[in-house]
Amino acid sequence: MIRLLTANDTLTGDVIWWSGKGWSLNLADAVALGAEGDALLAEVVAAENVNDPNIIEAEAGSPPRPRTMRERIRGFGPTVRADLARAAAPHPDQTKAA
Amino acid sequence: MYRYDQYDQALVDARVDEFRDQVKRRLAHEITEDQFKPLRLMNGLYLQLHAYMLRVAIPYGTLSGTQMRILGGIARKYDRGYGHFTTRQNIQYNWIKLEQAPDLLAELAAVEMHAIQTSGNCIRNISSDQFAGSAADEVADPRPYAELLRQWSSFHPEFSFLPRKFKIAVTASDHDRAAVKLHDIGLQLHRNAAGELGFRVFVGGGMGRTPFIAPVIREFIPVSQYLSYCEAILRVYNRYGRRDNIYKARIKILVHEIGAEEFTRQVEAEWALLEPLALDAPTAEYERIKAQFAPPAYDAAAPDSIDRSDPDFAVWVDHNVAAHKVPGYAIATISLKPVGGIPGDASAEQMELIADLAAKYSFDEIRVTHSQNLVLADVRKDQLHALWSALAAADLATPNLDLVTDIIACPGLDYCALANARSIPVAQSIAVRFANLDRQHDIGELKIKISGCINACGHHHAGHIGILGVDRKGEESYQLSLGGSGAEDTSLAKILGPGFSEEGVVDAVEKVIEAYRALRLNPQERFLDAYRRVGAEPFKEAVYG
Repeated sequence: MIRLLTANDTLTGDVIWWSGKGWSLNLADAVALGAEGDALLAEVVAAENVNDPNIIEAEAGSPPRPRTMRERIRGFGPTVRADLARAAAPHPDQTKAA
Repeated sequence: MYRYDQYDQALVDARVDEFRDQVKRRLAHEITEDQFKPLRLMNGLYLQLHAYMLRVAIPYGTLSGTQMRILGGIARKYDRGYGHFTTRQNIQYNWIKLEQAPDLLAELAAVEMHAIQTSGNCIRNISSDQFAGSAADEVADPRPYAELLRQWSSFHPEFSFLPRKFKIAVTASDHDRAAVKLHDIGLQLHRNAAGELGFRVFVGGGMGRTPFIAPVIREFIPVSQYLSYCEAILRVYNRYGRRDNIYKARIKILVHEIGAEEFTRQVEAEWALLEPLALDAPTAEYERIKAQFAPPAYDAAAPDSIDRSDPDFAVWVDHNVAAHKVPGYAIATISLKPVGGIPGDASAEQMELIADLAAKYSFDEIRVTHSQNLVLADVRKDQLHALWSALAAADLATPNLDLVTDIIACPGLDYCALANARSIPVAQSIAVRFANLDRQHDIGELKIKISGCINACGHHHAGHIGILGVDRKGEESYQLSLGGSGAEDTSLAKILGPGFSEEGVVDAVEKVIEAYRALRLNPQERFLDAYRRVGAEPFKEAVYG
């Protein structure tokens, strides 16, 4: 498992991922955090420029696959609206009915 | 329907201006998120999984065609082309941008709508019977009383920071379409032996983590005094409600812990102090409001029959059309539950079409139901076929009201930050499994209600079949409960046994339903009645072997 830093954009509410240089809307841009992760999170929390910053676990890949359904839904979009999916790749949890 | 006066409009406009300034300060980082969060929540703006979610109040589920048209336009302009009608008769938008929220609220204010008190520990939107004013079985129109409650509770300075959120429902029929016994306060309009109009007062009902059916604390309070009586209830709750534990802060816990008898004694004592203060609305004010709910100009010459020669139309009439108090008219329910669709979702185009149809066929008025459907409450019987044809062309004429595919589902983990599991895909899979209309009609009335977490926005406790999504070591799991009801025969569903996977719960529901079909006395015996007659065992046997 790798660790990713995520949050919601204050202006738009969009899910955002730490790319190493800044925030990205694309989960594929997320970088695995090293030992600096917790300090980075503390810094982001203190800066209050984004909402609900958090570190999550994911399987490495392109894009990474977040461990929990909640984070996969945040990363890829609702499983019930294929048209609202965030990434070009199919949602890993897309339902048949959608 | 009620139209804002200068005071209503001034309050709402002022709130938009205030919020615009608050957003501006937040975006300029002049206030922190911790400071801003309670301010945005007071205006119904949540941060959910994907974006900000705005919950817009629809008082007692009633809105005009003009308002619906604006809701559709907002879906297109500020969201992603759709909205979600909720179990509290509101609408939610899932993809709102903070910077656009003030403009959105200004558009709502221009048509006498807002998002105030759709969040927070205050008195929330007043809910009511979606057939109010038109129902053949009501003793009087409950909407003027619901409107008075709306005005009384809006910005009420004493009740803006309650121990927890507070929900009030009003109905006027013995057949309960508003789930009054599952609200913090449920008010049922009825007549006493002398023929006077008053309310039966239920207090302390609710679902969520700890469900309770509300006991009656007063059999009759005259309509002239119900506001001060509600004030007394809220005062007792505000004084003794648990502020130390969020899970025990609802009034239902207080009523349960001290007992309905002691709670009633305290309310009566408080009311004895309040009653002489003449806090109730003057008769003239009530009459002013009531006049705005005067019956529309019904055509006394409207034929009181329906041409049922079109078989598909006849099926829709049988399931989605209810009796109206005026001969020649009917109440039509628009299903927002097409098979495989998302319960309660409507596209901008559908909302605009419904607005047009309301203007053409139902005196420009629409109702939202707590079952996440819409209602045109005043349709001429000889225009039902034309209405149905227009609805069918927009996938809005599914003839499934109260059937197995008319499923209540909260947004669940697909949208909601509180959810533990997805609700919508389960509802979709069940609907697809039972898509065959003949099979649905053979099963008869069967209310499935699905929640994605213990907060029970999907009313699973009140489902004939209730499904609760939970998290089991990082995996979605679904508990099945049977025997709940939100109607006049209110009951709480009981867990059947161990939980299931997403696919497993659909199979389990089918096994329950097939067991019911095998054991029912006759096709007229509803699932709920059969369950109450035989108990859980035959269903456990069918599901778990």
